[in-house]
Amino acid sequence: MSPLARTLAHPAALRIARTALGLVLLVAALGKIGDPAAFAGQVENYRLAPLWSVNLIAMSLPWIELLAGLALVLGVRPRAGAVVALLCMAVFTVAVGSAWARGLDFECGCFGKASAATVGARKFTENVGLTLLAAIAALRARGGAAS
Amino acid sequence: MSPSPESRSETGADLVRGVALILAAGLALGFAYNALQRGAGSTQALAWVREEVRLASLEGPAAAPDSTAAETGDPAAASAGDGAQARVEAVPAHPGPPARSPDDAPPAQERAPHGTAPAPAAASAAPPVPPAPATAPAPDALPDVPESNEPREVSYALAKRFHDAGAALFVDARTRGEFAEGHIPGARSLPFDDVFERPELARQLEAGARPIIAYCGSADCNLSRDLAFALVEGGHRRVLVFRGGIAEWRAGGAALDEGGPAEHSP
Repeated sequence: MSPLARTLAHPAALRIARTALGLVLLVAALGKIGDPAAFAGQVENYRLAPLWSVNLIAMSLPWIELLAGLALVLGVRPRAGAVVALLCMAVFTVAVGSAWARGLDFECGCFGKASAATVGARKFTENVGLTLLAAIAALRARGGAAS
Repeated sequence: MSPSPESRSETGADLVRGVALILAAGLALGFAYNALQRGAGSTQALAWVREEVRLASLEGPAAAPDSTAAETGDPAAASAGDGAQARVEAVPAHPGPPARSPDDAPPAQERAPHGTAPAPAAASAAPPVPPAPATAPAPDALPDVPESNEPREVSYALAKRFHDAGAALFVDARTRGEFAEGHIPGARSLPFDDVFERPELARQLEAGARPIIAYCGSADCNLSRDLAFALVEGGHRRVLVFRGGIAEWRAGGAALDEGGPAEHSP
């Protein structure tokens, strides 16, 4: 394990990272589950997925996020939860980055309709940060102590 | 100390299984939840296959709700009489008291012969080829805007004519900052974000007898449509959407005003 990973993989650091990530995911997921139509509208706005699939994505992605968040917060299969979070974050980061590059200006859809943050540098940076957090949370704990 | 599952060599396969489990369970829960919502008739339920929401065009089936069809807006606005017939047939008529027309011609209150038709979203079929204009357009007659419980689209050409005649209230759905950078002259700033937080703003907007034309940045931006639906929900019955927005206004060479929002809706 590289020295950096070893530092980050300290059980206490991991627990913090996982709990923090899990909470972010839970809040994000609940916001989207609360208003599926709004989230579907935002997925459509990104114009990345084919239109017919937008609703399927909008109805399942929040629940995937929710389960990943629960896994992280509750500590049940947290690494799997973190990897799922990592996949989600990677996809979101690409989506936000792509929209930003195309100059699309609409609600971000990151937290459901609760935050009407337009796509841009700030949102992109936030996503990159969360992706990194997810990568950390996915690390295997340093041996010898329960996480 | 007892080894945690992680200090044992957790196989990659375990991890993959865990990921697959979360993904599969998430999908299943998501679909199940939606099925439940649909079964309960909830407004939150989504259709399984998403189709494009097409707002009917004010100008009737002759004009595609597309910026390139701007020219066909004029012939469809020939005379209030003939034009109204074609237009009303294109959209479900709202069974309500006749609206006072903003222009001089008395409104031709022809209600469409069919009953309440399914939502104009059903007009997601490809728009028909616009027919060749038969009559010379009467340049001064603006089309009647019948009441409806759904917003409709207007082309740039028609929006411009409404604007030049002062016959419509333009509302800008973008943020106040964007409004200040450049807005359609005479438009009012009504950011959709504000209306979303405080729906009473939509209800309180005073348009008088004029129809409302909502716009935002461009056809890519859905704020205008969202604002239009919010206005209809707030009780306004003659709401139009100028999808082309600032981008098309600029491209058409028309002037923009700058400066802070005149007045927020009362």
